[in-house]
Amino acid sequence: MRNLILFFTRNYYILLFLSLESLAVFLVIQGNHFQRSRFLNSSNVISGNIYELYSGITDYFGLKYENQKLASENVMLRNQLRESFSTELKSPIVITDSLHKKQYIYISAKVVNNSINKRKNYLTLNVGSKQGVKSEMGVISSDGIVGIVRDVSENFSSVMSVLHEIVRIPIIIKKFGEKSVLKWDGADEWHAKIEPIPSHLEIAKGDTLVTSSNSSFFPEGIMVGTIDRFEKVAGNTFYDVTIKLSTNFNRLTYVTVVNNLMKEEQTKLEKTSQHD
Amino acid sequence: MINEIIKNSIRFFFLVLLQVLILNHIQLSGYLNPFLYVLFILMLPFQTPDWLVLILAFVLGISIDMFSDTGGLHAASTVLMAFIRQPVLKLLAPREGYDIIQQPTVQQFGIGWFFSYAGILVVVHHFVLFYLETFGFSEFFSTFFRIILSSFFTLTLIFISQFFYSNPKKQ
Repeated sequence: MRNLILFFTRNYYILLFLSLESLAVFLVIQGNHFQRSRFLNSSNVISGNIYELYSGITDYFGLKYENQKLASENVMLRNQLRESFSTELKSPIVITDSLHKKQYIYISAKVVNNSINKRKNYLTLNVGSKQGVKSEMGVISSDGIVGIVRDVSENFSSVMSVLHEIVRIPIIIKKFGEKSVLKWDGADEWHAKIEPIPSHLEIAKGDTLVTSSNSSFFPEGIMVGTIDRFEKVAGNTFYDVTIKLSTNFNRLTYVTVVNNLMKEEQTKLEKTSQHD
Repeated sequence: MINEIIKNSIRFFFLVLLQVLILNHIQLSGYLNPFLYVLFILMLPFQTPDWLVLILAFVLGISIDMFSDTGGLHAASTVLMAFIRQPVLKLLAPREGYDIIQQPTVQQFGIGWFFSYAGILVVVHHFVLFYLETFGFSEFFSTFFRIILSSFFTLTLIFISQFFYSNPKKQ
């Protein structure tokens, strides 16, 4: 026993170093898993509030750009109003719609912190569990997909951006309906890769990619990006495709969180089928 | 003594906020990320006990991690850097040893000494940080390139910061 105490007092410095170092490495490894929510993240009270205060100041610098974007979105929405269409039918028809059930609810949010220069990039939003945000909801902007919610606190949520090495998003090439999966290769914030496409498809630069119905995070048909370049690999049977993301991650300010009301039902059903 | 504690606490908060609010948003061509916050560990007075340096390094790293959602990445690299600070200081010690009232600054030990001291510690810190981030050596050379460029950037900022230290002896 005395020897043990002597051992600890003599080597306390090394032991302290080893325990702190292994605690830190443990936190890194634990953070590599998708499902586990972490103890320390940017949605907690201290960092969330500091980021919100800071973005309150820096928002003024992006106002011009945001105004242009809102104006163009207003024009687009106005074009879809019923008033912009003339109707031949004068008597109103009342439709009680029992055929369509609401599947998606959208929650508007502001980005209070955003990173693009790491291998695992995150955004912090100023909405949290109080506003109905839950883990694993999709996040989109007016330009395209943004990411997936990971951790949620009362008033903030931390979102794994598409620019995160473990994020995989099912997509389709709009022209062919060909399925593939988007993943970011860590190169830069403008480009990403998709899983190889069979080379018999005549893809071209500029082909549109949208989210597929396989994804339970996003509604079908949300813009993802366009094909930027492609080259043949693996014995000429596949194309290695690089795409240009439609979202500008440098200037994200306002985003929308997508709540899929039928997600739980879908995943539950899929789980029970998989047990057989 | 009390004066030192206050001065270092202010430096701690200042560097953490500078790092997470401004420097984390700087990126040039995706390769250059300066991590100026390690200056706090470099500037700790000589009489700081070893165990305290380790604990302060852990707290510093975990604060940066909390803001940048990196788990324990910065904590791991800062703790290792703090651990080798003592051996590096011993290695570079002048013949007559360190005076307890001296501080590890350019003004008191000269450019050459400071460059070796800060250079070794910053490169070790960045080395652990970037390889732990990619979690392996799969992209060895591109990561290595990032380490060199970022270390250079961080060291430049550290040297600029040295101009803000006045030398109490000369005044």
